[in-house]
Amino acid sequence: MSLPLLRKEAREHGPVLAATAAIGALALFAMLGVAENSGGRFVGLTRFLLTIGPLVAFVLANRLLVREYTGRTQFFLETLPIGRVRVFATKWLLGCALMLLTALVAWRVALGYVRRTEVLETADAIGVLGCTAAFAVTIWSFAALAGMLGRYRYLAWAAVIIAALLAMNVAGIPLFDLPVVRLLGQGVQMATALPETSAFVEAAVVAVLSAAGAAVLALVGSGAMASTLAQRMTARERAFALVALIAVGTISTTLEPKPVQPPFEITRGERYQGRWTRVGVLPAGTLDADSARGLARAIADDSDELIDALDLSAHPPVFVLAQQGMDRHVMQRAALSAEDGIVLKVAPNAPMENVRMLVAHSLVADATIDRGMKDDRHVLLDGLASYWPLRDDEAGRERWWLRAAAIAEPLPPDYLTEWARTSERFGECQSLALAFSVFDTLVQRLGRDATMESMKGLFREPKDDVRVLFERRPAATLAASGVDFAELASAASAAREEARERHAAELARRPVLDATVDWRSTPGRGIEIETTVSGASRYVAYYRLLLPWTTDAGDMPRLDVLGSSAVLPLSPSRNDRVLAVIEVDDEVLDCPVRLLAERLRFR
Amino acid sequence: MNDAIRLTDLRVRYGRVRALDGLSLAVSRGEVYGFLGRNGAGKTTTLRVLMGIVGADAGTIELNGQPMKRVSVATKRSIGYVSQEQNFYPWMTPAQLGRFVAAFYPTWDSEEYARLLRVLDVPPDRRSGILSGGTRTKLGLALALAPRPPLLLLDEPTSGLDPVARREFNDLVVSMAAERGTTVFLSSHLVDEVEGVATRVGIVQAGRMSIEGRVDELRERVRRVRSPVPLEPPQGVTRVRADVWLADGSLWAAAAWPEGTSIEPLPLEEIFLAFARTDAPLGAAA
Repeated sequence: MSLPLLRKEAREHGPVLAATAAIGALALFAMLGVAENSGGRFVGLTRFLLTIGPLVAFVLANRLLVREYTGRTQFFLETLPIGRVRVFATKWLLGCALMLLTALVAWRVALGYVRRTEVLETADAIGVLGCTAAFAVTIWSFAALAGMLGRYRYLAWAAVIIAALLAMNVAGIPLFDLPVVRLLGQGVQMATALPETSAFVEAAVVAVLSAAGAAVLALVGSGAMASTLAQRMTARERAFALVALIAVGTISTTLEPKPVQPPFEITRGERYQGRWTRVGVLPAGTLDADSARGLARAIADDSDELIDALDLSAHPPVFVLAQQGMDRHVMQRAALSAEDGIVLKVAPNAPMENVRMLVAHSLVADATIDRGMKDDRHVLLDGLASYWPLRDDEAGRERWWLRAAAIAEPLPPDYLTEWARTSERFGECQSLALAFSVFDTLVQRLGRDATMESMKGLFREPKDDVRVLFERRPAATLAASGVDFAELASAASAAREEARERHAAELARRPVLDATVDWRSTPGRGIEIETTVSGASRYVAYYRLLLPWTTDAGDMPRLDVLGSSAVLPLSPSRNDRVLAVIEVDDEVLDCPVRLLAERLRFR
Repeated sequence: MNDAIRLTDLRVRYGRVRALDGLSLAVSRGEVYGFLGRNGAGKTTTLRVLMGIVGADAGTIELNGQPMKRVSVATKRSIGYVSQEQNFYPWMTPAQLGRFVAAFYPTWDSEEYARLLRVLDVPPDRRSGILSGGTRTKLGLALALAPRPPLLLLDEPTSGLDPVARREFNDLVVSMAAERGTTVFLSSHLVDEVEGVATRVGIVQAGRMSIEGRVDELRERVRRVRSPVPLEPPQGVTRVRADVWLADGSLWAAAAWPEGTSIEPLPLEEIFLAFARTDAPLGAAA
């Protein structure tokens, strides 16, 4: 802070700020009077903060920051022996202090109003003051950032107002559920409860980012950026801004609010209500009513026990819709909202344990807001999901050990933490088997309870805001339970080796297959990709053109091939990348086995 | 070290533009240094570096023998600065401006400031926003001199003034510098202005020092050479452009010139034009 600068600011802006304070005081008394019979103790205060608060912040930013640049007096300040950082900090802190003073005075006056009709201790209203102060600082921080944008400051404010209107009118989000405004929600208006911690975190993030942005604009390039932005808009910029505002306004009036749809439900089929989980299964084909009922019960038991084991707060309903004509190994999850729950479409003859695995996977993935699927822990999510339905099924576990044992090729040391790459190589069935082998090894080492205790730390429901960045790394969480990824990988490899010996006879029955993928370029036909499999009469090829930013190929188009070779129905260009995959049904393992997964680049 | 300012291989870029491209210069204590250059040659950037407003990308800065990466706030207290534009707070009077600026300088002399306002004929109680351009420039000079700085930087301070005001201003600068022993670094593109006050001159072109020296020394080194026959430069003589040549003073008489060759001394303005023009390649200079 610089005292001479503070004195200068007071002298320069005193009259305007006094006038603003007088208008604000009038507005405050008017709003408190109007809101007196609205039922909330601090309704008038929140209305004042939402309307006059931004106005005061805007005026302060204009006077303290914008005026210095538009009047070019910033250049005079720069010739004086005072650092640019100190000038900016003085002005920012002065604005912040004045905003806090405004909030404090408004709160104190509102408290006096409340006390005319009821007894309210100051201590009971301190929380309201905290929210009021946090809101004031956040608004000031944004106003300072907008101010540093100079001639674009009106656009910055307009963008925020339009975004808020769109969120309310189109997305149907209530005003007091919007970020930052959440600080002044119903609990604060009634002085009965504070907002959730995440509301303060959101406001803090906005305030810090805005302050940092303003500082960058003020300081980077020796302050040249702020000076340039302070210049008046050109005629072209004014026209563009006007057209943009009219266009956004017009579009927003034509948009209809998203209709509220009831959550997904099935009206017929087998239903089962577990302790936490409601399950519905729609039978079809070979999945008759009895089987559907059994599946519903098994899913409910799996989910309830998993919810208890991981201490999950979300209890989504589960629906399984059997549909004839689907491949028995293909299962699809409908992309619906969280309220709809987990909705799966499967073949009637799909392996039921696989359906239960997908439910367990979806339950944990949803509860962790998909963070469970990050590469550094995805193997344990897949392992948990594949292990869970088999936790009391010795024969089932041995079946999956057989599938895992079929992976004979050496694995890289980081195959557990580079799970996307591992999954792409081995396909769904065998990568699930691999994950199962890892998880079952972990359970055998630690015991089921200790393992699930460790998983509880790993798959906890994350904070749905910036705090998620500070979560503990999976390796550290596992280390607390005495588990090391490298050690686990090597123990699982040894266990798979043992399983290979146990199942040597079955594995010997598997046919020896060889798969290749080649491409050629001819002038008349362009680039052709040919897949060849020797030793099998039919196979399946999957393929996908990879965009520059594609990492996980996701669901891929499928080509069923009768015979030994086929040309993929794809016409890539030079420098394109294509993922080509070949799978065959393995009768011994009773699941599709991926023979090859190759990323091709056509140079 | 007797240098008030020493810049070595100074480089500053604004994006892709090289504002200073290896500028080197030295200004002795107590001298009035004329820093000549065309618009955009790098004069203002040099002064902004000396004021710490802009940081240098490379090179070294030495002020009063103290090397520094960037001029600090503490060093700025010993520098007086008058810029091209006087961006004072328009609502402040010279008296108020004095009180405001005084707070930043421990060496501020209020009596001296009042005396300067009187001497420079600046009304102390009139808002600076309504002062004439010349008066505002004189106010800038008073503000710059009141802390009694050992170094005074002038960035084309008279560019907006009429000839009479310009002469008055320059006379004031020279007399005050002489009176106090202040080092003056005067940037300008007005050759006659610099010629009248500077003891030494540097000509900057495209961010580099083209030539530097006392005015009489430059006149001695740079000459116009006219010959009836095409000339090859003798040893130690280089062509600056067209018929302007550069050599050590003693060489002009010593070299063997063809018959009919005339060698004429040049005024500073011609020397400036020869070094500052970019439509012909420069020879190895300075």
